[in-house]
Amino acid sequence: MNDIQRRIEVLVAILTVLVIISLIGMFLDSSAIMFLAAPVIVAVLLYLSVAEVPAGPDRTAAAAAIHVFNLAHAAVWIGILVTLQVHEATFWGLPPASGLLVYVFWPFSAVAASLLYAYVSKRTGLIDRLEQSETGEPAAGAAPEGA
Amino acid sequence: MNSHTLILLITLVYLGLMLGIGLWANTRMKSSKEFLVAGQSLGFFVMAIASFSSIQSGWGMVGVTGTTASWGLGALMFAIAGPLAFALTWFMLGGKLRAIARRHQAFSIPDLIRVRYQNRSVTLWMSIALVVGTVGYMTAQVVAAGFITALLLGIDFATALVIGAVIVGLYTVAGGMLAAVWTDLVQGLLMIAMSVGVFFLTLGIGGGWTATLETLNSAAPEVLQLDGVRSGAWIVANTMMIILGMIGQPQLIHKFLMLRSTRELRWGALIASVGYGATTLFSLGLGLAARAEIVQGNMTEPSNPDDIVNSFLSQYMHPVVTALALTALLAAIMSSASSFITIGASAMTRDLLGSFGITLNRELRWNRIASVVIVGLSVFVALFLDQIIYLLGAIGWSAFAAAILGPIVVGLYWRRGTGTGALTAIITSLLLNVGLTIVTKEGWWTPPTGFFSGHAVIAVGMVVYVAVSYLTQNRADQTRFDAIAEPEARQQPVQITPDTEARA
Repeated sequence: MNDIQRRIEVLVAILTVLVIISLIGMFLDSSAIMFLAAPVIVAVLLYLSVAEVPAGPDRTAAAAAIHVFNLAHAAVWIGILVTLQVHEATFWGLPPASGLLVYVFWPFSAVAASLLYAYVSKRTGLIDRLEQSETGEPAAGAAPEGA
Repeated sequence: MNSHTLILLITLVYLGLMLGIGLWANTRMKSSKEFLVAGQSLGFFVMAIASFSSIQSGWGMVGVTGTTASWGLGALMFAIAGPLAFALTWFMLGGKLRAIARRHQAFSIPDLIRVRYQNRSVTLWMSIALVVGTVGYMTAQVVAAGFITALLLGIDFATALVIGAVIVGLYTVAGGMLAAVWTDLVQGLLMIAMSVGVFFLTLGIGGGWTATLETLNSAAPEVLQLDGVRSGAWIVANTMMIILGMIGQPQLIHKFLMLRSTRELRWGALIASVGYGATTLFSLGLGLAARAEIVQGNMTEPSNPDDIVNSFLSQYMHPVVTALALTALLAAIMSSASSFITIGASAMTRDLLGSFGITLNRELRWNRIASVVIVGLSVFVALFLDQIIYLLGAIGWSAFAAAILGPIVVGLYWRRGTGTGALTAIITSLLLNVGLTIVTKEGWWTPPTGFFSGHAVIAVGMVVYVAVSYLTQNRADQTRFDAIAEPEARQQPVQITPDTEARA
C-alpha cells in the first residue's frame, strides 16, 4: 500500500466515524455534536478530493488554501452554535445565530468554496492533467509539472 | 385584457417555448448518446446553469418557501448551505469521475457501477434505487406542478397535476437530455431573475427587509431564531443531508458526463453556486413576508404549507408578477423533472434490463417509452400518497444519495471498496428509506426530536458500504480498482457489457 492509498484509508475511516457521530447526535438531539461534526465532514471530503495529488510545492499551496478555508468554515459553524441561544442581541435585525447564517454563511457558501475549487484545480494541475490524459496533448496554458 | 387572460397568455408563451426547444432537440436526436448525455457537447456556462436548475426544484422553491413561513429561518439553513455542496461535488467528482467515464464510455450511474465493480447484482440494485428515487423525486415535482398549474389555469388540483406532468413528459420524450439541458438553461436564468425580483417585491409589502424583521421580532420571534421551531440537531441533519446528498445526485453527476472538455470544469462550480444561492432569495423573501402578513392578521394561514406561495402571490402581487413568479416556479419544477425522467428511463431500459443480459434494439424508442412510464408512475403516486412536497423531495433525494455516496463517490477513491459492500449499502439504504417512510407515516414509530430520516438513510448507507467492504476485501475488486484508476487503463477500457459482468 503506497502513501496515497494510506492517506485515503485514514480519511475514509475518519469520515465513517464522523458520520456515525452525526447519527448519534441526531438521536440524542444534540446541537453541539451536529454543529461540530458538519464542518469536519466537509473538511475530510475536501482532503479526500486532493489526496491523489502528487507531493510538491503545488500540493503544499493547495493544501494551505484548503486549511484556511476549513478553519474559516468551522469558525462560522462554531459561531452559529455558540450564539444559538442568544436571543437578546441582534445582528442587523436578526438574532445573532440567524444573522451569521444569512449575512456571513450564505455569501461564504455561495462564493468561497467555488473560488477555492478554481484555485486548487488550477494550482495542482488537476484539470490540465486530465485534459492531457484525454487528448494526449498538453493543455493550452498548462503550467509545467511542479511549477 | 383581464388578469386571468394575462396570466394564461404568459404561461402559454413559456410552455410553448419549452415545447419548441423539445422539438428542436428532437431534430438533432440520432442515438441514445444524444438522448442520455446530450452528445457530450456542453460548455461550462450551460452545464453550470443546467446543474443548479436541475437541483433547484419544486421541492426547493415551493416546499422550502412553505416551510420557511411555517418553521422559520431554520428551514432555510440547508438551502443556504446548498452552494457549498456544489463546490464539494466539483472537488469530489468533477475531474475524477469525468476521466473514468470518458475512458470507459460510461453514460449513466449504473454504467459507472459496472466499470467499478463488474458485478451484475450491484448494477441491478443500483438501477432499482435510481428508479425508486426518480419516482420519489418526480412525485414531489408533479405535486408542486399541480399546485402551480391549478392557480395559473384556474382548474382543480388533480387535473392541473396531470397537465403539468404531460407537458414536461412531452418535451423530455421528444428531446431527451439535450432538450433537458437547454430548457434548464432558459429555466435557470428565469429562476434567478424572478427570485431576485420576488425577494424585493414581497418584502416591500411589509415595508422592506428591516420593517419585516421588526414585525416578526415583536410578533413571532421564534420564526427568526434558528432553533425557534425545529431543534438545532434537526436543522443540521437536514443540512448534512443536502451537503452529503448533493454529491450523490444523479442529475448533477450526469452533467459532468456531458461536458465537451475537462477544461470546462474550472468555473462551473462558481456559476452553479451563485445561481443556486440567488434562487434561495425567493424562499427567504416570500417565506418571511408571508409569515409577517399572517401574524398581523392580514393573511389567512393555509392548512398546507405548500399553499403559502400561491396564497401570498394571488393576494398581494400584480397578476403579471404573479404569472411570472409562478412561471419561474414551473421552470424550477420542470428543469428537475426533465432530468429525472431521462435518468429514470435510462435506468429502466439500458441498465435494469442490461443487468439481466437483455440488450434492446432501437434503444432510443424504448427510452422514450420508459419516460412515459416514469411520468405515469409519478402521477399515480402523487395522487395517492398524501405528503407535503418538502418530505416527498427528501425521500427521493436521500434514495439517490444513499445509493451513490458510498459505492460511487467513496468507491472511486477507496481501493478497499468491494462489490459486496456496494450491494449491501444500496439494498440497506433502499429498504431503510422505504421502511422509515412507512413507519413514520403510519405512526408506528415516533422519531426523536432531532431525527431526520433523510440524513439517517444517507449516513447508514455510507457506514454499511465501508464496514461490509472491510469485511469482504478481495484481490479481484482491488485489481479492478487499479485497472480503472491507473493511466495504463486508458489503453484497455473496461468493456461494460452484460457478458463481462456475467464472467465477473
